[in-house]
Formats: sequence, C-alpha cells, structure tokens
Amino acid sequence: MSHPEVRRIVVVGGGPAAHRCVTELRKLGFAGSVTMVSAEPVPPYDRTLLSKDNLADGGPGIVAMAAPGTYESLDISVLVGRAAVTLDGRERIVRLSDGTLLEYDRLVLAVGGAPILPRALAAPGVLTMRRAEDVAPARDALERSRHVVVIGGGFIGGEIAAAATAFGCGVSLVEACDVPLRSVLGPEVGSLVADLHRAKGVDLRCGVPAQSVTEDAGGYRVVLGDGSELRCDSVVVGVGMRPSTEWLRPSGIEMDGAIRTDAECRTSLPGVFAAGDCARWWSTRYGAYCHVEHWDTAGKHGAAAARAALGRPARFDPIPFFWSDQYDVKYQWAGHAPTWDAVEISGSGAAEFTARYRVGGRLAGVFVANRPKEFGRLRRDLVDAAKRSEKDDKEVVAL
Amino acid sequence: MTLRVSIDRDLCIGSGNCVHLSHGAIELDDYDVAEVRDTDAATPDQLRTAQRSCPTAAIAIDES
Repeated sequence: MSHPEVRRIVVVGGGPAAHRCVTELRKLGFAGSVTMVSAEPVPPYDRTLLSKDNLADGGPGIVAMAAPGTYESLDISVLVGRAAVTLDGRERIVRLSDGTLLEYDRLVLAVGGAPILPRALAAPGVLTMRRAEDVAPARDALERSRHVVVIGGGFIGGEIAAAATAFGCGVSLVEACDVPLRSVLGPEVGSLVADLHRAKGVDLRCGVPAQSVTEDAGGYRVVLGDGSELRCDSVVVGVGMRPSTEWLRPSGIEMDGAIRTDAECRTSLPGVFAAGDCARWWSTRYGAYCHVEHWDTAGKHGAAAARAALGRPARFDPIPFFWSDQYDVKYQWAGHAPTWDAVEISGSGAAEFTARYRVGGRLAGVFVANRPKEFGRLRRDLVDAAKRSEKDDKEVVAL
Repeated sequence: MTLRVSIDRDLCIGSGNCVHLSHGAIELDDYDVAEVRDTDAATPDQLRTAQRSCPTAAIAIDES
C-alpha cells in the first residue's frame, strides 16, 4: 500500500455511500480492517424502493444492496443496530451506543439523515418515509385509510401521494409554496407537476403551510395556514431531511448544516472523510459547496471517499442526477441549476415534457417527464460540456 | 421461463441499481455501463423489479 500506516478504516453509515465505500476499499486492494457501523437494524438496502415499489405493492420486500455473504467474503465487519455517539478526532476513536470503542486510522462519515418532523405536526401515528421500518406502518395506513393527508409536495410527498391513490385513498397534498417543487424546478415546471397531481384526482392545496396535526376519535385533523381544516385517517409528512450530525458537534468538525468537505471528501479533521447526504462538498466545476440528497450521487460519493481514505486521487465532482416515479410518470433530473435565467419547456402536457434550464445561454440542468431517451441525450450533452470545460481549465493551468 | 433482457447502453448511467436488484444477472462493465451477464441468476420478478427501478429506463424485457 502507498500508505502503510492505514490499517483500520471505519465507515459510519448504513446507506448507499457506506455500502459503496466499503466495497470500493476492497476493490482498490486495501487489505487492512474495514468496519461498517449502521444505526439501522439491517445492512444497507435499496432505499429508493421504499416510497415506490415497497409501498405500492409490497414489491419484493426490502432489497439488500449486497447479496448474502458478500460482506463476509470481503472480510468487512458489519455492526448493525448501533449508532455512533461520539467522535474523538485527536485520539481517533469512535464510540458506539453499546459502548464499543472503535479505533481508526481513517474514518468515513456517511451517516445520512433523518426526516424532519416539525413538532406541531408530530401527532402520535403521523408517518414519515426514510427507513425500511417506515414501510409497514405506511402500508397499513394506506390500506385502511379512506382519506390521507400528505404534507410536503416534494418528490417524496409526490411519490407517497401517488402510492396512496393507487390504494384507492382520497389524497390531499399540502404544499406551503404556490406550486410544488418551486425552489427546485421553478413555477412553470412546478405547475406541470401540480397538473399531474390534479389530473390523478389529488386534492392539491398549494400556498398554505400545514400548521398543526391533532389526533381525535375520528382520525386526524390537519389545520392549514389559512384556517381551513382537513379530516383524514392518516397523515404522512415529507418536508425534507436533516443530516444526522448532531453527535459530531462536540468533535469540532466543521459543519454548516452538513459536514463540510473539500473537493476530495476531506473534512476539517485529519483522517476523517465524509460522503453522501450528510456531506456538503466543494465542487470545483460549480465553484460552490454542494449538498444533494440523491441516491445515485451518494453511492458514487462513497466510492470517492474510499479512494480519498487510501490517499488516491478522489476528486468528487458529479453532475447531480435523480429520478422519481409518480403514477405512470418517470421524472428525471440532471445538472446543477440552483438559479437559472430561462427555462424552455416542450412537450405534450404534464405527463410528457422536457424542461431545459439555461444559465447565460448554456444548458445547466434538464428535467423530463416520461422522456428517457431525450433525457439520455441531454444528460450526455451536460457531461460532454463539463468534460470540455475541464480540459479548458487544464490548458489554462498549462499556459 | 427465461426472459430476454436487453440494455440500452446509451441510456445507462451506471447507477448500479440493477446490479443489486437483479442479483448479478446484470453487472456493470469496466466503463460502469450495465450489461447482461446471466439472466438465469435472477427470478423473473427480480428482473422486472430491476427493469422498473432503472432510473433511466434503460432495461427492456421481452416476455414473449
């Protein structure tokens, strides 16, 4: 090994970033000890299926990311059902909730996050969707409910609303902004998303926040910001997630809502790296710190953190990508466009369109509904453009 | 029943979802593009899940 002092690598997390990180370490030939610690009761599984197949039809059950025996055959030690509770960055020790002390030479933090559940909405039995254990109660609720209120019109909220209509439930979808996904996609595309929900029979309430949820004998009462009330049998909240980084605060690691890293996954503590939903990384391409909560990005980030932990080149600068399946529509996004000058929309309506987001005339992001082939072409354009500009950067440096 | 699985390699972005969902029937090649290895490694249901879950709709299944 190029770094003989690296003997023990600890990866804290139980999602795609942690899974890809530990397997990548072995792929890269690291022969020292690898330990993966997850607060969840099972090893990493496909979280994207939870609000899709798992919820909709019971699907294939929880799908593990590694085939049985994979971690054993790679000599990766997997500790599940144990949260990391303290980090001593000077002594290089992580303490777990069961008292176990893990010494490390390199530590990768891929702790992910937890759904935000505002106190005013947290009546007993209110549901969120993030972990495997959230699926069964949500399925039960959808099966027995006549009416469901989904709070939060983002991608998770949209998928849950779609699943609920498939169960035959009446659905009210509450979104604080005037259209769903306004901050991500803008008002024009947000309106198309709204049209789809309405076309599927969802009672979409936009421009009013949910103020409180209370349980009563008949079910739940949801009070909205304009004073109106919704009665329902179950409530699902999907208003975003928060990185599970509270336990790291005493360690002094630099954070700004998420763990800050440079372009190569390095945090402010020596020997400590971060990847996935809990990280905010410096993107050389975009000249900004980036934080995205995308499945695909998290996995690739975990692989980059493995390279970083072994002292290999590990610049992580992806073109963000995600998808969402709602009703009979597959939405796909690629690019990075926190703001844009213009959005061009073409298509036949809410169930089939392409939106191009431009910054200074340049294509910065693309969002499609049910147009996978056009998406593939536009995404390649984004990748090619990024490669060309990287080449230009290098030529500038060479000059 | 053996299903005929094909992958549109122009659409594939190497997310790797199909790899764990298809239990090795589909693998990523050296360029991180999916290719069909052994259709028999997965059940028809597992293959259909992989197809449905492909984030870029790059997997086609011929059931005829």
